Amino acid sequence: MKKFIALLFIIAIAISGCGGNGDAADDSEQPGGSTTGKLDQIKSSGTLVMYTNAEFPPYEFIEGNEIVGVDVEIGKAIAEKLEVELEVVNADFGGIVASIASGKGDVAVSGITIDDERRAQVDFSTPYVESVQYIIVPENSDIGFVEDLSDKAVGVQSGTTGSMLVEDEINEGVLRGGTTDLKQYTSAPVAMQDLINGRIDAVVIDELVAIALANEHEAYTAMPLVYTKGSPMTEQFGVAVAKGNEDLLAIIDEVVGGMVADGLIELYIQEYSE
Amino acid sequence: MIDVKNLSKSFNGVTVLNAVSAHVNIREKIVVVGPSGSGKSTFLRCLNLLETPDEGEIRFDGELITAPRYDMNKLRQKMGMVFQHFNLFPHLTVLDNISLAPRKLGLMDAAAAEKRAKELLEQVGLADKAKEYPNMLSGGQKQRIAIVRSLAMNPRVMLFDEPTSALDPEMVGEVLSVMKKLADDGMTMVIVTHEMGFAREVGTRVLFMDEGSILEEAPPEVFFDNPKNPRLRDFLSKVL
Amino acid sequence: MAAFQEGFYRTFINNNYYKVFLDGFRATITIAVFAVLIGVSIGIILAVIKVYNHRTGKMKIARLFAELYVTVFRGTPVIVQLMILYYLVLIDIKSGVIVAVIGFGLNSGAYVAEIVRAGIMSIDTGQTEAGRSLGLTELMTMRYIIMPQAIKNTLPALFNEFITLLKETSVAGYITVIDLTKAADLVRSRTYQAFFPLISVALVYLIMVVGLTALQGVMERKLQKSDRR
Repeated sequence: MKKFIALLFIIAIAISGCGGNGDAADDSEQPGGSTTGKLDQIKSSGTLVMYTNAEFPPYEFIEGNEIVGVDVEIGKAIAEKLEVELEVVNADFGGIVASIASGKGDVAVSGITIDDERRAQVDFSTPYVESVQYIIVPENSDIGFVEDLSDKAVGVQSGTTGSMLVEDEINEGVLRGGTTDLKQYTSAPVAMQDLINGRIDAVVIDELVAIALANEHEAYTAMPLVYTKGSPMTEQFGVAVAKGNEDLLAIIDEVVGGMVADGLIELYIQEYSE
Repeated sequence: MIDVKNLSKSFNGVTVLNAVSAHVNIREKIVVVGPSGSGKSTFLRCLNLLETPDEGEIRFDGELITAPRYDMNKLRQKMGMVFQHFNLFPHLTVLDNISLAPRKLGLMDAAAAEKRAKELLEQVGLADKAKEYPNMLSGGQKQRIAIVRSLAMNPRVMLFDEPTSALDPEMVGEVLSVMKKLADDGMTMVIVTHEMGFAREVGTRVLFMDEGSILEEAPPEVFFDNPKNPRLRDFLSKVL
Repeated sequence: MAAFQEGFYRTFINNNYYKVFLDGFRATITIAVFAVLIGVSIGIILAVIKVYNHRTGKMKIARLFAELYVTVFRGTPVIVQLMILYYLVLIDIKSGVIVAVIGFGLNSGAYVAEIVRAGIMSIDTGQTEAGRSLGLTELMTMRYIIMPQAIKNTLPALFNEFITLLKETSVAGYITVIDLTKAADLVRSRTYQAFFPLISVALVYLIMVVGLTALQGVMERKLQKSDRR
């Protein structure tokens, strides 16, 4: 038995060695190796594979049996520009960036906040939306600022910016040393359900999602989440592509920039919020 | 001591006991014989209520044990039973097989129960098997221990349901000799068996059962030497 | 190799992420252990009810309840049961871990019930008769004579169920529990590295299952003393 366990470890380490090297290859060799790949690859296959997590209205959600939303419109526009078909893959949000970095998908459009941690893995287009973190609370709640969450139970959608921002505040920010109970939900509506159940005191989530949810439940309000010093928690969304695909990124920037300038993004946000 | 009146029992519409009446006096050794399927085992099993009679009455020391809500656990403490297939508890050592019931029923503490078990094992010549598990024993040894297990409860009557039928022939003797010694010590016994020699030697009365009825009932010498019922004569001619 | 080290650092050392894994491990163990205790208790009770009814015809209502229980808990996915408990039934219990313990315990009870029932049925009725003929009560006979043998016979099936349960706790993340799997998920969503979080939790589950299997071997050897000839 001991030998067997030892063998397992050896296999695991052997695999991890390969995996690690594989990652390294992705990181360092891509500029030379796969630059020619992505754009040509998309064009030759005739399909643009877009990764998204369809639990984030109005950006992406499931309607009937189709994934729709603002981000899907962006994906369609990019595919149209490239003159290829669009294939939307619904994936776990936590794994999306990794999927793009490893080349599984071509682009990720999923309300992904541009930040340094993600920038280390993938390249981002110009921002197509600026989103403020909102907080949903019962109408009589005494929560007004981020700092008020120090002794509260807070719900977030696992893997979202809201989740990370609150987590960071708990670990090394204004909520450090408090007793904040951060509860991770699989989606914003479930977190809302638990707020109604009374298990948590607030939900931190993106602006539009927060407004939509608060609109549906009368006794709850959504408001921008600000620090006592006055600054809000903000974020920008971008389209993610694997590193070293400047040609593809340039086309995406052109498409996204155009949509922002024409007010198309705004329009889609309104349309899908209804 | 035991008084049975008009006992009837049927399984799935088949009548196994048909208005059987019998009486067991203290220190008697009643031997029940008969062809298989005659109802003799069922009769025995009704005595300690392992089978619930459909009709009829059984009294033990004058108490009506077939009355609803009668405390049959108390009754069974006073009536030991030995089975054809021994039914030792395979997960317990010989010693625990014997001492389990006295201990768990609060009749003795663990030390006393163990002491008593060892005494009894000594009496049947199996003291050296105390720590072993039943699977390591021969059939004859198992049955002797099953007898001892019942005796550990200090019963007032012992019921034997074909105690030697599942044994290899060379082991029958050791079990019968334990039973004979028990009889000599004055135990009241009801024995269902095919061992006619034993019935003749030890029995005070022999009952012949066939098709759910007791057809003949007599002291062994009369029973075997001068049978009256033709079916008994037929039966004896086959087994003797 | 440098990338390997960096991946390890980012997954476990950076931001003290190893603590997330440790907390997750603790939650997984807590849920699994207490759920097994609840499951075995419920399972034995349900099995005894079913067998008792089968042999005596008494306790009809309890038998029907047991049937319904087993049907419902075996007939629906455990994750759906968990979400129903968490979001609809036990909304006054704040702790997801406690709800998970209850949910997995109730679910496992249905499976254990069937395993133990088969175990009891496999014991010769002569054992019951021997116990009862000594004056032991029904309950004593069940507890000291039937159950020890039934459990021994069903040990492999029971451990199979424990192993399944341990692995199934990995869906506890659906009700906000940060168990081992969810911990990997959270760290992965921060580091964007899938390899270390996933492989390491897989290894931890594997080691736990290997440990359980070893425990099964020890228990089997201990209980099978009586089988040696």
